[in-house]
Amino acid sequence: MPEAKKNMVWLASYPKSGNTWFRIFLSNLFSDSPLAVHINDLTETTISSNRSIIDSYLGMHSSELTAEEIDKLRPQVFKRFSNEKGETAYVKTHEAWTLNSLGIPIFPKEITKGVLYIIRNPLDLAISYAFHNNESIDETISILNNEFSKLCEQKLKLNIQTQQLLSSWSNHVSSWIDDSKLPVHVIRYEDMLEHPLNAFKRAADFLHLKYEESEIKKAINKSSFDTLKDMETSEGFKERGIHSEAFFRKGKSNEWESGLSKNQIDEIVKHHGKIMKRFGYL
Amino acid sequence: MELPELSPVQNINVDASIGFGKVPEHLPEVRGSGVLFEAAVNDFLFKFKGIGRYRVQNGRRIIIQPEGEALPAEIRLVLLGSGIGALLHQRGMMAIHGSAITDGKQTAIVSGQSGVGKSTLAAGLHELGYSVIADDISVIGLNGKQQFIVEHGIPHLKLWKDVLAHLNQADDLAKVRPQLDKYRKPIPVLEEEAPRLSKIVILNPSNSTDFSYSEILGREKFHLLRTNTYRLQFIDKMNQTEAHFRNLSQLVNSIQMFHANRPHDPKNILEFSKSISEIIFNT
Repeated sequence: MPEAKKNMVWLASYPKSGNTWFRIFLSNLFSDSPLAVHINDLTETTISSNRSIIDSYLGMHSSELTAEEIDKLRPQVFKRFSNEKGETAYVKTHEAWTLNSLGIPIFPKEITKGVLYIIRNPLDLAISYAFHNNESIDETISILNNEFSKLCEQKLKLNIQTQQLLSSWSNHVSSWIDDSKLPVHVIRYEDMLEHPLNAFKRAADFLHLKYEESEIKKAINKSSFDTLKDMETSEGFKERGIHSEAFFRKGKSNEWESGLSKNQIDEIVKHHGKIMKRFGYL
Repeated sequence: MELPELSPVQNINVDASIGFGKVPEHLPEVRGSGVLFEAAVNDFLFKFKGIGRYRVQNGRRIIIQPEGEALPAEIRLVLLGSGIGALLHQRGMMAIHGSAITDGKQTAIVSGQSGVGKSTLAAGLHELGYSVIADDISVIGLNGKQQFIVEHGIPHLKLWKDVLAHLNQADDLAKVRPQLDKYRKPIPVLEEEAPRLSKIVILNPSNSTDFSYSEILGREKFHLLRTNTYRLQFIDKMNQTEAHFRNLSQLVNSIQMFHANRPHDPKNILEFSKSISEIIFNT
């Protein structure tokens, strides 16, 4: 293997925190077309749990490996992936930053250019994620509170994505921001909504993307919530949750004020108050 | 070594041997590599810590050096996957990642990315009375009339526990590995040569509850045949790209191809299999 390139940008977030919205913004920023990039054509990014990519670098079916074995091999998969990419490769992930059973970080430092961590108020996230999974808010809160929460758990059946450790909301945040020791820029979903130019511009600066303010504004406009919702209504969105009616639902903040009961708010604050306070949610 | 997954044959010339022996840590010359393999022209090494090292040479020989506490089922799993895949590519043979099914008049391959449900669909079609010629690796050959056919594959389906449960089938089958809830379900061996390969269906994941399909035309056919080649990543590193391109160019003009969007988590595998059978066998 040639020397490692520091070209990987991890677009990390808990699900339903604005990761897809940011990826759409990036696709529009990179696009020369006057038209908005279609939501089903986001070719600029892949996901860290993409089974086909993992299989292709391994040379065997990951479906014949345990989740632990896959995680032992994934740092090497990412290094080879990085090696074949150019100056920057964007990879979305919903996984918590973690070590594998060999004690090696799954997301290797030596290939990481940076982490863009997108955070959202867990009170709103709980409602959005409940809709996404078509589960009750109480069930969703228990996912947010569980340090062993997983996505695509490989037990009795196979998924096109490999198993991912999501962990609890607080663990997820601190794993990337505190534990990883990687260069991280945090972007708040609420700032993307309320001060989009400032939020997206600062993210673009962190990623060393040399674009004029007017180009960033244009990309934000092409990624507006109404545009995305219209696209989903007319042609569907392949990333929509299998049980949910729509991926782009409201695109607003503070829905929790009317959408959560006092007990539900208390339960979230009890588990995540410390991190919520740190990021201005309390 | 016992290979219970394969059927015994008699009175044919042996054209590839498989045996145990010493396998080096690395190949003397490496043209390209992956996390678990090294490849050169006519020389290939696959190594999986805890299972063993495999060397495949000249399309004629596979040598295995098992490691540690490797179980025979695990040794065979790698052999019958990446080991055979490398052997086929060294021979310049065309292998599609997917399951081949026939109604006795024509053959179709169901291909697509890992985890999309190819084997599940093959199991459903088998339940409906169709014959499964191959699961996971469909090796393309020519018959006496120079028509493309799928060679008989390993006569079993690898199915996850939930699929067996959906099909109301016993899960007292042998596991592919003790750590996984994935089982080998034996299927009858087809006695006669499979009929002409006429269609390839690319199965796509979908978040819709409905089944839909569309015919694939033009350049996309070639592109999808290429990307759904079994162990495509070995080919360039083995210097077999030209042979592969030639093979695909010939095949692409003689088959019809379809996209089929699999309803998410079909509650009724048989119903979905019936819908697919209507496209591929015009039932």
